[in-house]
Amino acid sequence: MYKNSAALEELRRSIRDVLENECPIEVVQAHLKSRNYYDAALWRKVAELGWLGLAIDETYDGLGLGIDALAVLYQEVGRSAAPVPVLGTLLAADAISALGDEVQRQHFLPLLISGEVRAAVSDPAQPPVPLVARNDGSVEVSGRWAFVLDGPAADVFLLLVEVNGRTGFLVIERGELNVEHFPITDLTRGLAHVWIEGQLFSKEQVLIAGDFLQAKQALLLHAAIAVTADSVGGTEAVFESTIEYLKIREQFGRPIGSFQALKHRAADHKAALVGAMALYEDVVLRAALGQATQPEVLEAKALAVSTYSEVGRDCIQLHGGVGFTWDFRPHIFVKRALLNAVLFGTIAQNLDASVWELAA
Amino acid sequence: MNTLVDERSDVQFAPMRKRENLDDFRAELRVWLAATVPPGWQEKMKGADTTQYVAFQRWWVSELLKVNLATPHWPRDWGGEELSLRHQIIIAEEMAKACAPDPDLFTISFYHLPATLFGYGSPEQRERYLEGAKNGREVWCQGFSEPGAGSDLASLRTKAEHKGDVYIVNGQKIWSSYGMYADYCLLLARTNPAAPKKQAGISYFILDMKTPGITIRPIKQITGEADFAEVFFDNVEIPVSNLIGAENEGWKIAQATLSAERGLIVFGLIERLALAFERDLASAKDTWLQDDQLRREYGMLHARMRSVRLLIRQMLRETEENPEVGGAAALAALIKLNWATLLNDYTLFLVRAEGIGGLHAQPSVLGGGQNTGIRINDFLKSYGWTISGGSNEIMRNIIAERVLGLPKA
Repeated sequence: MYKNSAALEELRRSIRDVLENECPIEVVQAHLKSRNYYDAALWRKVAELGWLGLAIDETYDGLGLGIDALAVLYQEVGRSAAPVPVLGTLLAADAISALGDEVQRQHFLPLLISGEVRAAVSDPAQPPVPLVARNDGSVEVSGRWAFVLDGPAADVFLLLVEVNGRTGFLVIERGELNVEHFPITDLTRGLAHVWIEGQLFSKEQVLIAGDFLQAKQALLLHAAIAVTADSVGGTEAVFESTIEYLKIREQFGRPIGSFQALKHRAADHKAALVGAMALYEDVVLRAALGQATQPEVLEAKALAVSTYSEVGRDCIQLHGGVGFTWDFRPHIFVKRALLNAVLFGTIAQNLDASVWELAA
Repeated sequence: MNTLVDERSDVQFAPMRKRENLDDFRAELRVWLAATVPPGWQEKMKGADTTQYVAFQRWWVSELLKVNLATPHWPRDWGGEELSLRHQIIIAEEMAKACAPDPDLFTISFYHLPATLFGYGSPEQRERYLEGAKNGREVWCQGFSEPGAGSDLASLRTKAEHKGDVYIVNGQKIWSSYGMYADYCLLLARTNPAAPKKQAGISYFILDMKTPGITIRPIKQITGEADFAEVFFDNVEIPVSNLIGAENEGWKIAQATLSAERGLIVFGLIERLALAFERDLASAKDTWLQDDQLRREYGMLHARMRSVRLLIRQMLRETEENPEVGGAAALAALIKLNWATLLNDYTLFLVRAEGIGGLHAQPSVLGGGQNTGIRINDFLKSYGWTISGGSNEIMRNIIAERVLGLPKA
């Protein structure tokens, strides 16, 4: 981890500068029109700047930083609604680091860091698909993995499987399986269903060297913090742009931001955002120290995603007519917020998990 | 009530002598609290009358005084300990953990009076009044709000006319906490009705509550208790020597009074709320915890509680690092709004979660704080935070204009 918060702030500054230049709202809007699964030019930039290797061990040419550095990246990506599949790729890198053997790590990690390969990981909380191990050392696979985040843009998939009682991920190239894009309104990210029917794969393609339970906990923590970071970043962005609009839009001869009915809603949103941010920053700090517990992370996520949804939806309303148009930005963030609210567990599921553990 | 007091043994503790090491300081506080806080005092104070309440408050302050914990934040020259904010945070944490009584009858005496007199009082005023406030002998109240001057405090109309060596006061104050028990009052009154700005015509006085012409009436609240009083003035004379600062400078001085406690009181209350969350969950295993909706509501409230707790710590840290700024006023408004709303929502959640039992009418615990476990009373009492000390609506105005920079109407 970064022991030094000044260094983290420097990282944030540099990521924000790049995204403000390379991914202003016009770029996001052009992406929506393109119907591409991701912005290839931006992806190249992200890779060139080494962001994909922030948390990967230095042995594999990463920077060896911790979850606090990754959280900065996710927060800034959320802030600019950047159409790049960072979470799928970085979760894959995390899974390969934790569960792969040395050969697998040597092979995959540099490909992921360089951005040459984009990856997607099936939900580690779902039950694994059982594989049949054959005498010739191959495995036979039949199964389906639903709603794989960043699947549409992925070249490589990590799919949760079980072989001989051990759980791990099968690593498959896109050409070797069936991928069906599941269209969602958030066009800055994508989901896919993937399936395989009775195909044979080499055993070397299964990552089962590490301790799965431990790896699963770490992956879910990583995913939850990523969604939390994306949410606070997105809330800040949509809220700030709405406040700017309230200051310039005039009706009845004065800025609409001078009307108390709007001011009070804005103040409530600010108070909610500050609260969600405080909890997020605390769990990131604790996670970087290896001290974060599941209930506290899930609570932070629940608070952040519900704040994002609630603030975001009112930002459409606060904009009035233009908020209803494709050309103004609130809808882009609201669509991201609504996806965040169901990624890696719904708010209700996250709160259930956290309260049951608090009560235990 | 005094049976509670008589049971206590007189062991000698000295947390202040251990102040150099924070862990030792905390440990000594803890043993002192364990030996001093009467077990089950809240249960025994259930349904207590106001005489018993005042007696218990005075007894608790006398215990605090023995170890100099009543006013540890005061300067040494005035019998305080000049304790750092970090020490005061530890005291608040340990008081919360020990479920110690809060000396709320003395809030004005211990915080607002010194903030006012150290900043603006004359040497004679400090000499005369601080000692009595510090040792709990004299209780102080605040005379700021009026029926026509609540959120818009500066429009207050209680008049003080300078005649010879006295000011003659006529008018009415309201929402004076514990005004019916007070010996003295920090009073704001209008001395120049013709001032160009309403803030410019206000002066600040020390008022002896036993002066002829004063009528004090307790205000019965929605809980049935009376924590506040309204005070009427009919030709009440205040000697000119009791003017604090210069005539018509009262508004500025009032700002110092109002920022007196720097978030420590809310900090202590949130620590107590955090413990209430634990207790309430532990007692709900077979009841509302089994209900999907209520369990999830609790989870979200718990997340909000943690976030407010983090924010107030952040504010105190900022105050400690930069005492002159006085803990980012912007953050203070955000914390006040989040805290008051959380308390109101959580206490109502418990009423609903407990069904008909949550509505059980029971005698209040006078001086028992915000989370006495009597659900309906705790809920009704929580409006004290959403309305007083700057209502939620005033906080929203401050946030909108000073934090977000939205234009004034």
